[in-house]
Amino acid sequence: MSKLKFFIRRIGQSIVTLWAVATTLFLLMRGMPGDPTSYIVSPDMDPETRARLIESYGLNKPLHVQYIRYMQNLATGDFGQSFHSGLPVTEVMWTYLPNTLILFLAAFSMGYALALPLGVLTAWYRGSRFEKTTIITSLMIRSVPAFWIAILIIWIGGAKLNIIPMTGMTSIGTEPEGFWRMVFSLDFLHHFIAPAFVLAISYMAYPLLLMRNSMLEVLGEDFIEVCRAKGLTDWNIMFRHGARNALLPILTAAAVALSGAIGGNVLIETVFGWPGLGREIVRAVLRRDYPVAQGAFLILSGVVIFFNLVADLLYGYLDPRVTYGEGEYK
Amino acid sequence: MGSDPSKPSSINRRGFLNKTALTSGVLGMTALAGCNGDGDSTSTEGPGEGTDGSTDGAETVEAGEPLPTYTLLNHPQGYNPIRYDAFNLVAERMQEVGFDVEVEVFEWGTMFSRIYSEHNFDIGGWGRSLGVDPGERLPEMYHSDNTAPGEGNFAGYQNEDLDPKLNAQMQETDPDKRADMIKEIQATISRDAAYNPLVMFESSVLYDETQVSGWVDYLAGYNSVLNMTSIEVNNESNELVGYWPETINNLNVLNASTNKQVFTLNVMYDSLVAFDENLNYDPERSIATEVNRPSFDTVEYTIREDHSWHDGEDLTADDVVWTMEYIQEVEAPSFSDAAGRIDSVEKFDGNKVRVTLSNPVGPIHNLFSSNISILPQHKWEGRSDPVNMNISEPVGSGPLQFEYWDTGSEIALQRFDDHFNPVNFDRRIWRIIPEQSTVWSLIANGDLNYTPILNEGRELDQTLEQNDNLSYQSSPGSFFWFESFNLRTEGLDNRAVRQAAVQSMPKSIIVDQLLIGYGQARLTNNIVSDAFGKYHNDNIEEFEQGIEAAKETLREGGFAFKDGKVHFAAE
Repeated sequence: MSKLKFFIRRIGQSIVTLWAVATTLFLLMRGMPGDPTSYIVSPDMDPETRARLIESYGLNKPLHVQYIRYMQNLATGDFGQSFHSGLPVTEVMWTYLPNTLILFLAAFSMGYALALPLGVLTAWYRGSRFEKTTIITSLMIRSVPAFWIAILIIWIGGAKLNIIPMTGMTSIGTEPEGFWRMVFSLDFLHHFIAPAFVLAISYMAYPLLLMRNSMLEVLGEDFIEVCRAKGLTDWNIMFRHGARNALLPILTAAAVALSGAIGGNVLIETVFGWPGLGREIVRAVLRRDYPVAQGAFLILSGVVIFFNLVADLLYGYLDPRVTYGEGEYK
Repeated sequence: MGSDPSKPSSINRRGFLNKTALTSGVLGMTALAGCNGDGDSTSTEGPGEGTDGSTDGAETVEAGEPLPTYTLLNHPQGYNPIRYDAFNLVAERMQEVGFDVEVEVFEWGTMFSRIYSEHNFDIGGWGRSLGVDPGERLPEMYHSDNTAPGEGNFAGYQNEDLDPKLNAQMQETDPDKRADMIKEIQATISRDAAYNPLVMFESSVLYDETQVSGWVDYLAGYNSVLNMTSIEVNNESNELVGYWPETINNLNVLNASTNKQVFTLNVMYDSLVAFDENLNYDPERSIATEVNRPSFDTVEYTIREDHSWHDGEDLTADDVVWTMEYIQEVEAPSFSDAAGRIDSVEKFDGNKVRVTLSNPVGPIHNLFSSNISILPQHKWEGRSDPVNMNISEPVGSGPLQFEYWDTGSEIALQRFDDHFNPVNFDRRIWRIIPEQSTVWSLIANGDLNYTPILNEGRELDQTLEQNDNLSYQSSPGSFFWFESFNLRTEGLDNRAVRQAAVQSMPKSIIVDQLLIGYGQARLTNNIVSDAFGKYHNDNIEEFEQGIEAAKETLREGGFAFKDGKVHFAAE
């Protein structure tokens, strides 16, 4: 099968997957116990007022009517309006998404930028003290919850030493002047360092170990011996020949991690007071803000599907041996 | 305990008012006596109330069927760890008495639906406030007309003798007579034990005394307009800096359902009448410089003529009239009760407004004048879907005006210099901080200088102990934790069962051990605390506390014990 056919086939599969996700979300939200109006309305309201609000949100209509309307809106890119803020779901998400992206993508990049060369080096220097130390440290980081590290850093760096801010993206009382002006300010950088560091080290551990394992396999291949016989330098063998071929499993892991990063991390955002998408999604679910919760999960699902598709296509580019057969690589 | 972000307060006052059938034009109406129906005036009867043979509690009664297993609904530990433990302890003590009790944990919204909307519960562990006027809330909670799903009497309490008294005190204009009527009501509801207070909390605030001073002890709390206009701020930036654990979603005053919205909007909008610290109408703080009651169902306000909106436009009597009509037209949820009291409104003599009420109202300021935020007609007129729309830059006339709102991060209000009762600082900032440990650190180092919401407990104690710059101020409040019974459930419809459950409550243990002294154990089973002054009945008989006392109550009520479990009497 040609790449084009593969691509078209995967697009079709993605659409079906998205439809399944949207339907599942719709049913899950409405199957949850609790009444969304419990959070929309005040207990001061009389039942007539509550009933009117329920009607205005379309929640009194039969389930199949709500579903059809939901799907029709989705087809036109309309994710609905938040029950709580009255804002379009896309606007709610755009309020928080940039905050999440700037933090998590930066942390992701830092984490992987550190993990890959470290993974190569630990494989190359197998059996050394350096390798053992790196592996033990990575395993410890993998074992300890990131939010615990975050609390520790805030306590020591913020409360005790007063060298890092303990909450937020900017200092208290800083009037907002636009996202990019904020991002390029020293105040933001000061607030950014601690959460980015915590996330970077939490992202780093898994690809480091994965890269090491993959590298060990590659280093056992015959072509590496040929490289040595040709007199290539260690550095050349490690990175130009070995790492490039060991990179493929990392690609898949990175695609999954990247799509997860976009969804944010509610615990990190809570500990650092970072106004991100993760926190908002959790709040939407707890408050039964169906449109926001559904819209956010659907968009995140789309991102996961997209990045997995990108990873699949990149595989074929990076590894000439990969061809696209009937629904599988060959 | 500090303000509960989503605590329930009052239900269905409008429905109650609509169903109240009272004649108008009777000044000084007192309690409607003579409305006792036939038969016993107490709540639903069961064994031990004189209708069965098992009336002598001293004799051993043969055991019949066991009482059913009761489910106690509790909040998750993460919602409020101390409250979670407290109600788990309540369930354990009931089990020691001989009740079969299981605890189910639900997050707030589910619990609200189960209890208020579905009545699908046996016992609920809750928290709520009675506001500034207990007479306003008591009919919602106890009147027989309010027992339908979604209404305030979710316990299903019915007392034909009490209903007219609940109605009458709402129409009584003499404060002393009204106070006596409310006290009488307390005696009945305390005895009948449908809603039972566990712990009463004070209003409280933690603040940096090197930066902030001048807090006023006030029933409406430290987030009230009275306090915001009384305190002094002494720091370089002249800013009052607090926090809230959750972001604010909407600054739409027509649909403000949470405390964080209310505490933000109450300083941005004026109501017709504001109170002094004794809850008396204070013309100096009010839009209405004079109020007259020409008849029992009419009230006239003289609107001050020198006031303006935050955008510079004049605030006039036209705005007041328009507001009253508008909140009825759009059925504004925030003002549904007050709007339900309006029959008609008109302007006269230039700056006067006459409101004709749909039903006579005694405490007019508590129930009406202070409960409507005056809206700018020039901003709201013509808006489509005003109740649900998102308002990001509200324009009001209050002592604080909107400055900026960094969604998810921070909201800032600045002083409105032209207000007749301005604040004494330049800016009030609330930073959104979900992590409580961060809050303690920030207020200790002075980055925050007060706490609009406060969780009392060991961390507060430690923080106060370790930081000389911090002070804690508290005053009698109206918020309390309580246990509610579903009187529709077999066994719980019997007063002896409810009283025994109340007697088993480990109130003192909860206050002393879990709350380490923050809070007051309500030993008299009276939900109207002494914070309400003349409305509080301090002659309510105490229930004897303890497991054995509870068992004795059950025996006297005609119940039996078998294998340590409570049983109905054998037929």
